[in-house]
Amino acid sequence: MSEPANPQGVPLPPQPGALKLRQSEAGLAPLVLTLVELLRQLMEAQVIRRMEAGQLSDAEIERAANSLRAIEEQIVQLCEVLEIDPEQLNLDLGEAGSLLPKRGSYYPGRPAAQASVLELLDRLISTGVVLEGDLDLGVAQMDLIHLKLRILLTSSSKLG
Amino acid sequence: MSASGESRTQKFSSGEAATSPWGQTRTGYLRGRLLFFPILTSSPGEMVYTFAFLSAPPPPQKPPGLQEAAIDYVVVGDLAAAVEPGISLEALQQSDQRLLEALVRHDQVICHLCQNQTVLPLRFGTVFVSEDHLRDHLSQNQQSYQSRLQALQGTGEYVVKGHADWPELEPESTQPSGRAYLLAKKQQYEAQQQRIQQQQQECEALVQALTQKFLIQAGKVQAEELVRLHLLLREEQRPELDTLLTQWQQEHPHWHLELGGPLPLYHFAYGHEAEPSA
Repeated sequence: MSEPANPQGVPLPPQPGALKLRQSEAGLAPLVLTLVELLRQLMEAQVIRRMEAGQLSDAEIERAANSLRAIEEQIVQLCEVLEIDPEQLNLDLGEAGSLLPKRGSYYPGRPAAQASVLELLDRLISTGVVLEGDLDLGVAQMDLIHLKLRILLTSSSKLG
Repeated sequence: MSASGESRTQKFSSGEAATSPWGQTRTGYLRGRLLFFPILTSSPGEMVYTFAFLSAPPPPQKPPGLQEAAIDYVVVGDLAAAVEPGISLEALQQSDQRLLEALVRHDQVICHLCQNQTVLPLRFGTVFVSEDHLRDHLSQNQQSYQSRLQALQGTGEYVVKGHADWPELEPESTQPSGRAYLLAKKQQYEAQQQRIQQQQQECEALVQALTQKFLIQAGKVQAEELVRLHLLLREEQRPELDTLLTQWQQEHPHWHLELGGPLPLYHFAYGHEAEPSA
């Protein structure tokens, strides 16, 4: 979307609401933003765990928190542009809980009243998990590519 | 008192009481009833769909049943059953729309019967394989159903629903420093835990207060509800219930209580005995 320009050709700041899209035009944006928010909260949980364990200096805490806060602000701004309620950046998984916990209902290392994928991933990363699998790709009943997967998912602090 | 057709839902706010049509209350209740559907092998022509048991003689009015034809009564001794013969359960289950319509009609028939006298409502989908089976059932349970009907004479069922509405937690994004921003997350979590604990205690206190004065049965909470209670009470006890709920609401302004009813005696009709299965 091009920005409006004055007669001198200098781009003008966007008018309030000029960039707003209708909900139907937002397309997959809510899903993408939800996944970005999931990753942000996962990183935030890891920062909190390390802060609680005394593994981060004051400068590192400040830097990490400011970055997380900046990402959060950008997500909120994008939500405003796309006319999405930030509270709706979540997925209801029925009895399995939700993708993200409700505000204030989860803190790393503490019990949560309601299950969420974020909590599950945070605990898995903190504990460490190895995923193994084989994948065959092919056409016309011919195996052409074989993938042998071994994925280690863990907190970076455990690798040091 | 029989459950009258002018049932209502009352919201208890800090000061005033609001009323709304009781359709919401009934719909919420009926959703939980959709799962029950006995599987029978008899042909539809023989099966007798049964709405409720009541004392004989039955009322002269015959409201429309599931298929708009007037219902009928099967009378055995001092007991009567409100029935509709020839209902095919398979046909009802062909679409959700049809099933839902039948469910609403089932409830309407029971509510209509409740206007005139005390009835023992049956679950949606209760079918006897033949009229003979129904007659046998009525004659075998004459005494127990009659005594139950007498015991419930003049009572109605009410439902109390409650949820908490807390003020928003302070947003962490207003914190000046990065560390304070992260620590605010912890404070939010602790505040949330405190609220949950307080809610549980208040919920227990409400149940205890109601149990001391009324016969109650816990219901399955839905959506954001924290508590759902079914109460059995006589008409003259209603002001006492209103006073108790209004007072409790004023003492706990973050709670929102709703009172619905009177409803048919869905949760108290059969006491501790098992509801009849056809």
